[in-house]
Amino acid sequence: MSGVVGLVGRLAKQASALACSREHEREADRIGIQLMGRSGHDPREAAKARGNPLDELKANPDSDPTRNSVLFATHPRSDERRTSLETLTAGSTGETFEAEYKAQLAPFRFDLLDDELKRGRFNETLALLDRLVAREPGSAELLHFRGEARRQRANPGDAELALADLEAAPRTGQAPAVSHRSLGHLHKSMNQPGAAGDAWRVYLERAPQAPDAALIRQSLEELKP
Amino acid sequence: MNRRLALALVALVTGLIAGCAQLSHVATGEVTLRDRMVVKVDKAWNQFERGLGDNTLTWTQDGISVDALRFYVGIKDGELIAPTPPEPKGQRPLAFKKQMQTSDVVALFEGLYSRGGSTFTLDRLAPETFVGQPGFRFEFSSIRKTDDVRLRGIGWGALRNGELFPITYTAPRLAFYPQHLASATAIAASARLRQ
Repeated sequence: MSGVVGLVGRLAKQASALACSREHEREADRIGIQLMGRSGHDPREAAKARGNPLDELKANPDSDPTRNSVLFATHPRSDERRTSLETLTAGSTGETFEAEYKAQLAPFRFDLLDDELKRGRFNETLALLDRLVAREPGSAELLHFRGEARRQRANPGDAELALADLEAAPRTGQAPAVSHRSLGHLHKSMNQPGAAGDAWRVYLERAPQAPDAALIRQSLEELKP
Repeated sequence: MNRRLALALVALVTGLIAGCAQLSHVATGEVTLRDRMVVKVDKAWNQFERGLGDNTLTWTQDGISVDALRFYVGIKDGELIAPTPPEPKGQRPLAFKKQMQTSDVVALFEGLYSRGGSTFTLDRLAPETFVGQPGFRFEFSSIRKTDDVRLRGIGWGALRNGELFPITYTAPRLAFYPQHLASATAIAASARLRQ
């Protein structure tokens, strides 16, 4: 029992330290904005970097980010902080270096989005992807993940929206092979065996050694009358 | 805050003690699981009536946090394969639906093993007869977030009359996984359902 009391004490001490850190974070914001400006970066991006994940968390019904996220619970109130950052950076200018950032991120983005999908928090993921697709509407990769997120969430109306994205992705000529697999699964669930078979065949042509190739081949066999 | 933490810790300790109290020995021979599934056991295992944090019948050789052979006996339409954590909100409940395709069922286990930031890589998914039904086998790798241990896993599953019957086996990929894989595979191959 004394071990439990000791553990509770240590956790309480840690919680107290985290509360103190909120003041430190405000100070860090001010210093960070100054450093961004001096290095030529646009300080206004700081408010976006704060606001975007906040908007994702708010996409969940009844979600309170200050209670549900370690990040936001240990920092100043989120909306207040975003407003404070916007005030501090109003009228600033600078470079976003967006093209350089995208180029550096490109080799890892598919895996990062795949991990994002595996979190199983589709409302948050869709808030993220809606924002990314708005900035990059022709990206097959983003269309695939948004379609797959909607397919897996399966709320009313999601199937039709997923279908639109998963059909749009191949039209770019850049769709990942798994996008055809997702399209096949979606058609199957919508009782469209012919279209499901077409999509799965493309998947197997493009990824004959895929880990699930044997199962997809059997699924194709099962579609035969 | 302190009170909530203390209550959570008490609940955790109580749960662990309760779980440990239900540890029993599984002798070799034929074993009936939850009155529904029958398997043949070639070497002795240790059985927990409930796994850590869920209601899944779990066997182990070296400890439940090391290797785990888990039996999901007759998951019904809408039933969860694991409880949904209360916070943060927005996490998909891992609920089985009888109209699910095999890939959706495997995605449930992917969701389970990915929880908390662990990785999940599907290494193989293929059709395989299980409990006398057309079923599937999947193999995967995972890096457990809590301790960075690299795990390997294998699972078998099939649907019968709208109910799902999977067995999964996971263990650290070095030493533990290969040590008990043959026994786990033999148990899965022997599994049958009572009428």
